[in-house]
Amino acid sequence: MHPGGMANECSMNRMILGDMMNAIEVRDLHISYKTIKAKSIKQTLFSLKKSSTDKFEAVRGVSFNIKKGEIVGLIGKNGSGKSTLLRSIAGIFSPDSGVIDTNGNNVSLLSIGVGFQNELTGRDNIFLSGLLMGFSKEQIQEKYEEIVRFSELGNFINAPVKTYSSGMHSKLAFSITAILETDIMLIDEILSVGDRKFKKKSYAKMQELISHEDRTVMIVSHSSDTIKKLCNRVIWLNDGLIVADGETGETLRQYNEYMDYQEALMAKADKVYWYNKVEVKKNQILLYPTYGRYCDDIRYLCKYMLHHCPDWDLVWVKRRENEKIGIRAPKLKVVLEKTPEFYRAVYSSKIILDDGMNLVKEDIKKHAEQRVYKILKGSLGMKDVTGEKISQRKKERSARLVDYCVSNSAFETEVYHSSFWKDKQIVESGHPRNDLLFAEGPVKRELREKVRAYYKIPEGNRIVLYAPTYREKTMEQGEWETMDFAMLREALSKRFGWEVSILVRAHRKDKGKWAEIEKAEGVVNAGGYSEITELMVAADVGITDYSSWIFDFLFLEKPGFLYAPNAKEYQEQRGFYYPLEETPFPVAGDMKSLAENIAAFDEEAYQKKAKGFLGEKGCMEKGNACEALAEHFRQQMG
Amino acid sequence: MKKFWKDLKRYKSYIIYATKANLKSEVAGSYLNWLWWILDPLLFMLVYSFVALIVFGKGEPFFPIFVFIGLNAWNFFSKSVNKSVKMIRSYKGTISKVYIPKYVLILIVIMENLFKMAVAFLLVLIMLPIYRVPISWHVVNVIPIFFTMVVFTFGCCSLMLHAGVYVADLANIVTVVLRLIFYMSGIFYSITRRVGEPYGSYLLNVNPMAFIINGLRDSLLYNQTVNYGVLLFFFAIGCILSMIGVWIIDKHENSYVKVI
Repeated sequence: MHPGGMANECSMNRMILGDMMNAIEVRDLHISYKTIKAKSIKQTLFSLKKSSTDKFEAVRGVSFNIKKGEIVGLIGKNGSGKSTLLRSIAGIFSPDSGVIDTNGNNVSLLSIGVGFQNELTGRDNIFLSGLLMGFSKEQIQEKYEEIVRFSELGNFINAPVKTYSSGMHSKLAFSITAILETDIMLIDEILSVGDRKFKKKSYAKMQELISHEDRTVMIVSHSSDTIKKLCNRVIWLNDGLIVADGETGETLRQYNEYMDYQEALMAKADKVYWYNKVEVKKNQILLYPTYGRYCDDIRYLCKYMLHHCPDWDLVWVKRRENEKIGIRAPKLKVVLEKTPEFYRAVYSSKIILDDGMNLVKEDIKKHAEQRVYKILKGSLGMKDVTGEKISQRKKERSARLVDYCVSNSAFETEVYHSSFWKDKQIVESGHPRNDLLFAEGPVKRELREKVRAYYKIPEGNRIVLYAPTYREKTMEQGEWETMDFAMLREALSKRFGWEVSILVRAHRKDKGKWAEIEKAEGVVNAGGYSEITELMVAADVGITDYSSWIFDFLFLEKPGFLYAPNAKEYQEQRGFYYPLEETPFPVAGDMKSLAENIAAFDEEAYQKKAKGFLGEKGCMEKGNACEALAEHFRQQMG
Repeated sequence: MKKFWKDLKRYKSYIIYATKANLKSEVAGSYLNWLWWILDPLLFMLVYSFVALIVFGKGEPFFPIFVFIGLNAWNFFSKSVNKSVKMIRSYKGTISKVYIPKYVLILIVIMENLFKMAVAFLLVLIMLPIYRVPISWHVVNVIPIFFTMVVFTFGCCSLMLHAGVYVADLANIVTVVLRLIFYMSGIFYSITRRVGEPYGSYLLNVNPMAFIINGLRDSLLYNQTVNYGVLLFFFAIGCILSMIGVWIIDKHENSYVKVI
């Protein structure tokens, strides 16, 4: 179906090109878009003197052969000439120079958008498309039923195409090309058509089609997965030239590497741009929490500042578009990580608050007058903060960026100093999240009622909060599986005479366990509650393995227990600053000893030990951390 | 040219199917469906008859049929040309998906309008005996005249199709020019009787549509022969326009997609 000029050229070149086993032969192909834009009459009349000869070369000398039965992926960034190449192979574009020979095979091009005549019915369009693809009316008639069935259009097939939804459009287009099988199929980004069901079906059909050994297929796709699954050869086009042509895995690897590099360059350019462009705003504070729902320190501090420091501009960084931050205030500006808005905020904030290793994910350069505050989540916890996998690069960056470390105890100060924040200044304000634990009676009572109502805790029941920490994969077989809630309930009832409701809160990275928790009997999944501090206030007993919240729980002067069946392994992997036995909490390695610990619980001795522990660690938590930190910020602002 | 005939053969079934489908969809979309193909010229015939006979008090013998024949032939020509100007844009979807020789699209439009004209001319056959028009052997002349008209129309359409791609607002101009030709083709008046010499002869010998319409009336209504020399001349003009059109389209058609 190629226009005459080309066909002649082709047959002349056939002798040179030879090889009939090739389904597609392309030699030194050049295609350019001369900017022959349609002009108005006025322009035509008045611009005769010079016709603008702007030329954009989409394909700049491309040669390749594709053997019959090959499945070739075509990759490249936007505007690299992929679609143009496919179109010219389909005979829609004539090349400016070079040869395309499809050796008399019939070709179909499948691409986004529709090649239908809107006034005509689906039925007529099936026949017209088929005729144009080189099939006879009889051949189409034979496949007609199958096309209609595959397209799932039903009676709509007799309605004009203009009444179709866009999904129906593409379904029909796909069905026609898929059922009327051509020798050469050119597929342009269309493997995701319609709803999920149809997508699956069309993908399967496509796999079936292209696996036919006589069918030659070229696929343009931006999805590496699709290419990897379907193609046995990949051609990488860049700016109209072939960069690589070869085995799928290797070519894709090169391509991805290149794209990553480009992306990094862009990101870097972004950063440099904003760094130079913006000035530090004296009263702007950037809040950069690790995760929207588990960042009590930053959240409480934010609420405090919104209330008490009305002339400060607060900017909150979100990870994902749909992340809930749990604060509703029109004054609080929210930016999405790694967007231009984000970089602008990062470089223009006088004060930056980071409760994890967030700021160091990227190589950010700090203005001299900017101040970065680091808050540890662990505080009095015994887990080694450097035990988590943190890359050397991040450690270096963090050491360079951080100015102040927020601490609540001599112990935590020592933790900072023994890590890569060796020589940083310490702000001994205490942790904002713990202010709540020191709050007045009525405030706490209100919170307790809030939690009880939220989880519909029966009147008179006491609350047990069980919240273990996260384990890396190798330690996945934790105590969660061995925890016997019936036994726990019985032990508590025996010792204290309480009916208890058990709130179980898995670590945020353990969301996969929620379903399991919800199935367990007599247990409430508290994983969805945003602030663990509020749960702590509501709880009467706390149980964990090594999670640091239990140390904050001490301020509430309520009984806490450790249940840590795999303490040894965990210690080896993660490292403890001090042994579990040094904590005021009774430690149990199995269910039996947990029950025994509860039975033998001595309130007086426990409280004494707790006081001793806090004293020993040099704790200076007083319940005014928000106020003290805000005051510190104010001094920095000058 | 060889490619033209080859394509004609290859796309024959496409042209036929597309023509049928277009006609069908046009019919399906309106209340009185195919009756419009007759009603439209019929109503205009009434309008022009009213204006000529009652307002101006001047007419021609068998005036209603006279106007009806003129309108039918004119509609065929003007509708085909009008559609050709916008053709590539309206087929954008199809031509950016699959190769199709663009003159095939013209042939579809011409076939469509030819069919509509044929339906309308059935009414002429009915009206002739009603008005007691004497029939003579000159009637056979309509065959070469129609043929010439189709070839000439194709030539105009192919040139307009090409120009319409590159000049975005050509359609507006074409409408005006067609209106001018409409008045110069004697649709509702007789050029031979109403236009003084030598202008009448000029019009008939320069404007093919005027000549064709006049010839149709002479053959069907007035028992007159046609000037075969002029007819042959216009046929040749039509052939040359068509060949130029086909040649230009063939040369440029694969750039159309880049422009629209």
